[in-house]
Parts: sequence; structure tokens; C-alpha cells
Amino acid sequence: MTRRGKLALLGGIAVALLVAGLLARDGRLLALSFPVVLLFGALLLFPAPREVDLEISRAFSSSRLEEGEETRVTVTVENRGEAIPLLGAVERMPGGVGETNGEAGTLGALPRGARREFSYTLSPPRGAYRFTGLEITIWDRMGLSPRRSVVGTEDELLARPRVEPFEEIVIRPRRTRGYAGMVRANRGGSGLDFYGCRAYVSGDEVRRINWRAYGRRGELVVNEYEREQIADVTVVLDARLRAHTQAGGESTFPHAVRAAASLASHFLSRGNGVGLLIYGDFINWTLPGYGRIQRERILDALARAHPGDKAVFEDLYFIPTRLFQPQSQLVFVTPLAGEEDVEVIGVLRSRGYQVLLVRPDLLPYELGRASRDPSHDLARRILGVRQGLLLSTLSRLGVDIVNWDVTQPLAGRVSWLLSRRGRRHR
Amino acid sequence: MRGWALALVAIGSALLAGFGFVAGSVVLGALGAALLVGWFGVVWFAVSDLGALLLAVTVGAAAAAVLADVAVLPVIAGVTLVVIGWELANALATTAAYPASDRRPVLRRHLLRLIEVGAAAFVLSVVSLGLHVRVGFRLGLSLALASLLLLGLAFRLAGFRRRGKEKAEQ
Repeated sequence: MTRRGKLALLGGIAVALLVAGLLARDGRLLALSFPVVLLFGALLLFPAPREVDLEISRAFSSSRLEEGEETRVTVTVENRGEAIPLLGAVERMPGGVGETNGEAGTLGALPRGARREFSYTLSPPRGAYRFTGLEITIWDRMGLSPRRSVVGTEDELLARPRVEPFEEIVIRPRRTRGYAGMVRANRGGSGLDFYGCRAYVSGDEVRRINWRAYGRRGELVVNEYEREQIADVTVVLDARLRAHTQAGGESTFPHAVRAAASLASHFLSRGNGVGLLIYGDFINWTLPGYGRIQRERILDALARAHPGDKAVFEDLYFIPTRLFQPQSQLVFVTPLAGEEDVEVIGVLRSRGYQVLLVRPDLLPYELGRASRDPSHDLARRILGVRQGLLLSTLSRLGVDIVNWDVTQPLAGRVSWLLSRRGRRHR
Repeated sequence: MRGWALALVAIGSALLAGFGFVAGSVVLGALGAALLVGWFGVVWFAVSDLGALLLAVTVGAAAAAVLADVAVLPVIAGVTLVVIGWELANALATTAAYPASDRRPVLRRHLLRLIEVGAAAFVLSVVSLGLHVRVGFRLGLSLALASLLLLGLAFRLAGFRRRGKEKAEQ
């Protein structure tokens, strides 16, 4: 109850008793009013201090962490103004941050120049959490009238998606960069895999001369190996709400985010230039870059990613292809909303992009939960046929597809399907 | 501390109910018993708005008891205990978000201050009951109007100070 509310209540009761006592000419009613009158007087005489000068700081043991990891938050409140008889400070937790371990508030007197500190631990799920300040309550000397306000600094905590390491992912974009890397460039040069033979020209290394061919043809021929270079890779995360399925509190979106993070991290670790496009709420574009800093940028962007349902991004038709390097590698992480998505991916293939599609599939999880009945079986068959059609169309278009059952680890599936051995077995 | 708040409002309401029955008024006794149940609910579930309403009803019932010639001192004691219990319940609700280790000493200090205020009020009531002042119509009316004026002035003063501070802050 606020101070004003209490004053109104107690004042009203006191006056009512006084007036009733006077009207009834009964002193006992006046005597009855004393407990109320004294509390009213105490409230009136001791207001909470109005001018407070507090300095609040919040420190995270790690402000960027992987989802599920623990961080310790330490909050310090320092009084730079007059002494405060009683101060309460409690953290305003951002939504969805999860359970806290420890005390997220403090209560006690705060003399001039003194400080109070409290700390707690958090292990939030993936997301960007904005801490807006502390809810401060100040009491008067009697502790009767609390005054509330929000004071403090804004801080952000990023819980980034968990990254799964992959052993090997073979990609073959048509165009590669000039620097040495691990992507086969479909061009002769120095490498490991045999590429072809050509006539010897002055300056070629003697050890590369193919002496058998010389014996057969009587002219010098040198072996060529396939050049291995770095490539431009763009990871496209589909964040359209309509594309993602939900079942029993589980959604494909967090899995898609995790897959995008793992794939981007893998390609960056192999020296490639990686960009990220999150398509859904708005066009969230992380410029292509290399190395560890780019990895941090991409993981930060993925920590903030959330599904959107904007009508303008309902289809993949508006995907800004001018952002992609020509004939580069595109990695789509999408559950596929329908035939129109297949059409867009087909168009991208026809423009010379190499496309890898990772499709998180929630159907096995959903079927595991559903009861066995004929209508479910029919639904499962219809869905299976529809998915099969979409995926076989994409496969015919030359798209590398990983249909990922989200109940299984992604690394195993991707590492097998997209490795050299896996591709040979397909 | 919740136990203390419960005990205070329970003893206060029980005093009203008990002395209502003793004085032969079933209505006042039943009202006191109903208040006892109501206060238990309010303190247990920390319903602040209902607490304010119950406080008004309790004081109203006490006034009715006094007018019905129920022993006045137990009634005043009952009201004092209920007021202390109500304020303690408010403090409990306001500090609910803070760590229990910090709350305990703060609430204990608050309870002691409330007991001091309550004791002072009770002593004042007892002393005032011993005083006899003849109040005529004019004096009575003047006192009633003066009390209303003082109440208004108090509110005005509080509001005026707040607005002044807000302007200064701007």
C-alpha cells in the first residue's frame, strides 16, 4: 500500500471517529481514535527521503556465454547522497531468463558513502537479455512509507547457441577466393588430389613431370593437382514463423539456430569467408568476414535471432540475392514452408549458387509423442509423401540436402552425409 | 514474522468478538468472529486492498461496540493490536521480494517501533478516558470542522511538498 493510500485510509478513519465522537458527545470514541491518529501522525511526520543519489553497477562473470552455461551477476549499490534509513534493491529480471540461484536483491540501511552488494547465478536459454535496472524502494525512519523507483544501468547478457563440432563438410562452390584454403577450386595447381596433365612449360618443377606419359608420348608432361582455396559461404537462417513447426512446446527454430551457428563456426574455422542472413522479422545481415571476430559477430546475431511473422517476408521471394557473392556457396537452414521455397532455391541454383540445405525435422519427435491411431498414420503418410516430393525436387536441382531428425545430434548426420565418403555412398 | 502479524490481528479481533459476546450482543460477537476469519485470510494471502477495507470495518465495529456499552479498554486494545498487525502485514508484503536473511532484522525492528507507537496510543487513550471536558454544540462543531480542516491541510501539505520537489527535480 502506498503512503498516500495509507494516509487517506488512516486520516479518514481518524476524522470519522472524531466527528462521530463529537456528534454522539462520547469521549470513548475519541479515545478509540488514538491508535489510528498516532500512526497517521507518524506517517505524516516521517516521509521517505526524496533526494537519493545512488550509483549502481552490475558485473557479469561472462556477458557472452553459451546457452545453458552459468554466469554470476554481481550488483553493487553505492549511496553518494544523504543516509537512507532503509533501502531495498531488487533486480528486474528480463523475461525468459530462467531460474536464478542466489539472492537477487538486498534490504538494509545505507549510510552516506556506504555500499551494498548482492550476487546470484543464472544459466539462461539462448537469447539476448536486457537488464533495465533495479527496483529501488526507500523507507522512512519509521519504516511506514515505502517509495519505489527504478534506478540503474542497462546491461545486456547474450546467451549464444551451442556449437556442435563437425569433422568434415565438403562444399564445391563454382567460384573460390585466391587464397589457399580447404575448398577444392576445380582448377589445376598445387594441392593433394590429382586434377590432370598438361604440357611442360619452362619453370615447372621437375618432380611434377609425369615420366610414364613422357615415355609413351615422347614429350614432357606434368601432373596437375586440384587447387584448394577458401570460399565465400553465406548461411541463411529462415526465421519466418510460418516455416517453423511446433509440437508439445518444442519448435524447430532453436534447432535451426543451433545448426546455423555450428555450420558458420565450422566454415570459419576452415578459413572461409562467412556471412549470415537471418530472414524473417527483418533482413538481419551480418557482413561476410573471416576468423574469430567474425565468429563472435555471427554468434551474437544468432543469440538475438527470433522468429518473425511479417507479411512482407512471408515468402523467400524477397531474399536479397545481391548480398551474396556470385556463384558462391549458400547454406540454407530451413524446415521449408512449401513448394514456393523449393522454387526460390531452384532459381538460386540456376544462377550458379551452390546450395546446401539443412532441414530440421520435428516429425519424428511429434510421432514419438502421438498415440497410435489410423488418422495419425494417414497424416504421417501424407506428410511423408509431401516432404519426399519437396526433397526429391531439390535433390534433382543439385541441392545437397541434410534432413535432420532433431532428436538426433546434428554433427553425426552432417559429418556423414557431407563428407567425401558419405557423398560417394549416396 | 507472518506468525506475529497473524497473532496480533487474531488477538485483536478475538478481543472484539469475545467482549461483544460477553456484553450480550450476538451481532457484535459474530462480527468480531467474522473479522477474525477475514484477517486470517488477508494476512495469510497478503491481500493488501482487502486489508484496508477490513481495517475500516474493524474500527467501525469497535465504535459500534463502544456505543453498545462494551468494555472500552479491551476494545481499544483490540483496535490497537489490529492496527499493528495490519501495518506489519503491509511491511511483510512490501519486503517479500528481498532475501529472508535481510528481511528478518528489518521486520523485527519495524515490529518493535509499531509496538512502541501502539503502547503510546493505548496509554494516551487510557489517560484521555480519565479526562472530562464539557463540549457544547459550538465547541463540538468547531472541533469537528477543525479536524476536517487539519486533515485537508495535512493532505495539501504532503501534496504541495511532493509537487514542489518534482518541479525542482525537473
